[in-house]
Amino acid sequence: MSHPFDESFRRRLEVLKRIVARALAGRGGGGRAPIAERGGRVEFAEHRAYVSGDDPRNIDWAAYARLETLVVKEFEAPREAHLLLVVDRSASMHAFGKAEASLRLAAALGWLGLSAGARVAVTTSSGATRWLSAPERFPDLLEMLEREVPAGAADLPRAVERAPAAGTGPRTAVLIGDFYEGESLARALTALRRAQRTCVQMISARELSAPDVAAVALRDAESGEQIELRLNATVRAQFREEAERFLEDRLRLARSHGANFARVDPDDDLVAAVELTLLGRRVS
Amino acid sequence: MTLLAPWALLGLVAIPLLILLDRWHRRPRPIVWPSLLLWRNIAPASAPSRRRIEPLLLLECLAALLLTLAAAGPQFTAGAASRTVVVHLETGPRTGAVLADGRTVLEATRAELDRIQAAVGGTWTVIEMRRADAPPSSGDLRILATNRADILAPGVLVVGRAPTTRNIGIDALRVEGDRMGFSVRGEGVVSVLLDGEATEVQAGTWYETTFRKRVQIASANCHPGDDTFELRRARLKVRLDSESPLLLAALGAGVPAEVGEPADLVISTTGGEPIPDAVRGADCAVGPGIFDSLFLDDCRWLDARGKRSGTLLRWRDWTLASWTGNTLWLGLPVAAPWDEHGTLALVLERAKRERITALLREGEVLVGTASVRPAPGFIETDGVDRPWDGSVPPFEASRPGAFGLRALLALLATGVLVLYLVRLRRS
Repeated sequence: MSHPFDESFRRRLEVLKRIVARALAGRGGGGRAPIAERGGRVEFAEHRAYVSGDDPRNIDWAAYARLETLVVKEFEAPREAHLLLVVDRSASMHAFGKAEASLRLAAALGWLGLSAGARVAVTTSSGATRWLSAPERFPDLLEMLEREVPAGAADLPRAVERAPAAGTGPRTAVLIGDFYEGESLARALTALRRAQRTCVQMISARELSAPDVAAVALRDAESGEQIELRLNATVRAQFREEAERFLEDRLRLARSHGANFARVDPDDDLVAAVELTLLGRRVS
Repeated sequence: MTLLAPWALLGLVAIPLLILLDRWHRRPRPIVWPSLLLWRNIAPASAPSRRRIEPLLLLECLAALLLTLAAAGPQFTAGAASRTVVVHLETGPRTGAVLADGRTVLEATRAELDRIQAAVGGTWTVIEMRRADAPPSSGDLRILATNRADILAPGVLVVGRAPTTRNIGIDALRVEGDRMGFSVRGEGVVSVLLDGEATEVQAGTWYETTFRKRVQIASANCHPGDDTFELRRARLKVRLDSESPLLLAALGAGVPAEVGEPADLVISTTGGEPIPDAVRGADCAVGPGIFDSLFLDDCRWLDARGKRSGTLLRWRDWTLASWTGNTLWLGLPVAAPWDEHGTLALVLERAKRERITALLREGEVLVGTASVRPAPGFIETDGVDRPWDGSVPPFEASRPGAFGLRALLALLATGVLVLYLVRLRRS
């Protein structure tokens, strides 16, 4: 398996930079507003004289008409937004490349947040960063993510508990995991009820279909429990039904808590995954 | 039916192999799964059982079993006891030749006949003949005589019904330079084609003519291909080392030797115009005790219609010392196909070869020969030279219905395989 933050990943971040730039310029495409603007719009502060190099889009043409001199508008710094990334690093995420994909997604979202001037923190059930507030601190975020090894059972509520205390600014939380434990997800969403929440279900199409063998001894990645099954056509059909029911349940659970919900396949393109997360759109 | 046939053995081995492969294929593969949440409602009803036999495996084994049975050659046995077998057994002077084991050819023949009868069963009628050439059989079942007992040692030919004599053919033939003399065996007036021109001759009368191309004899009641023959002068080169002026050849009957001095006889078929579709060749005989060795190559026969082709026999450097005192018959229309059980079957090719083969397959005709031959160096079977190793596989004839049973089993196996594929697709 390649390193989650290899050169390819960094090239993808460059693409994300452009998305951020478009988002800050109010041209972030359809759908929801970018993270940096969700806490409140950027406010006008004062005029100053135009100097070479200023963005011509900030020139106040109305003032020019009145004063016959070029002035540009300056804005107040926005209130600091907070982006909390809650990442499931349980053993179940180890399969089908979900752990790696969730790390990349979290890192990309973190990069977006930092670039947008938001304060970003990452938390898992075993640790958390403090609030990071500048793109220069992005390596700290990566270090935190890399340090975490998928293990144990999913415990999103505990991850939420570990999150650093947020400031007064608007807060956004993105929960990334496979959400097999519905109770755990519900408690985490409840604990984050004051934040704007987005659930990203990182789940592979491969785990939603039965293995292509005649018989199988399945061992639960988290509990170690084992069952033996004969995989005939009936069993496969039953499993497909169970999987569809499971996906529908998790979507309904997130919606019932007022959270956005997106489903991402670990094999999805990173940029697409980020966009889906930002748009909070369900992936079929 | 025997399960020791190679294909049957393979089938028997295939069944346990299929079971082992199925077990191996269906062994539970250990896989770490993110969560068993989705499997818990399924697990109780679909846990694999060691005792459970999969329908697909059953179908596989059934197909293998059916194919095995088909390969084993199943037969109906009920008809064996009621079979009536007629045996033409030559008892002429030539069969008195003493073999290496001290028995005469006739004694060896009888012993072989007893063995075959014990193996095959049924009611046997033995017709003993002073001469080797059995009369043609009646109706469509035209064959059948050993006619070469002196060459092939104990020759036994069995037919499914009693033959009747239709006594027609060349009684004697003399070829000397461009001249040919012959007499016709039979009754009354017989039609003869000489170089394509029809003429009628009286049976038993000696005729002499200039021989150019071919002679064909037919009669009103002669089936095409039966008792017709062809001689092509250009294809027969006769060299007598002793400058013997005379070569006697006869068809269908022994002709007294008229050659006074022993000589080497060489007959070859070089030169001459090829006859398309020629399948039947010359019947000729040379007198006893005359020649030390003989060479006959590419003996071809042409039936009356001239429709078939093929080399029936190819004899090379045939040492005749063993037959001193016997009349040697050359070029008789004898084919020697190996039946499906490996027994050397000798058939006088007076009927079409395909028909004989079909009869053999259907079991209506049993043809066999003994396991001894007077000439250790004799090499000849069905046109392919093989050394004679002195052992002949046990005579075992196929029986009626074998082919049908095989086809039925193969059909069933095909059906089972189709069912298997359908189930496999559904699963």
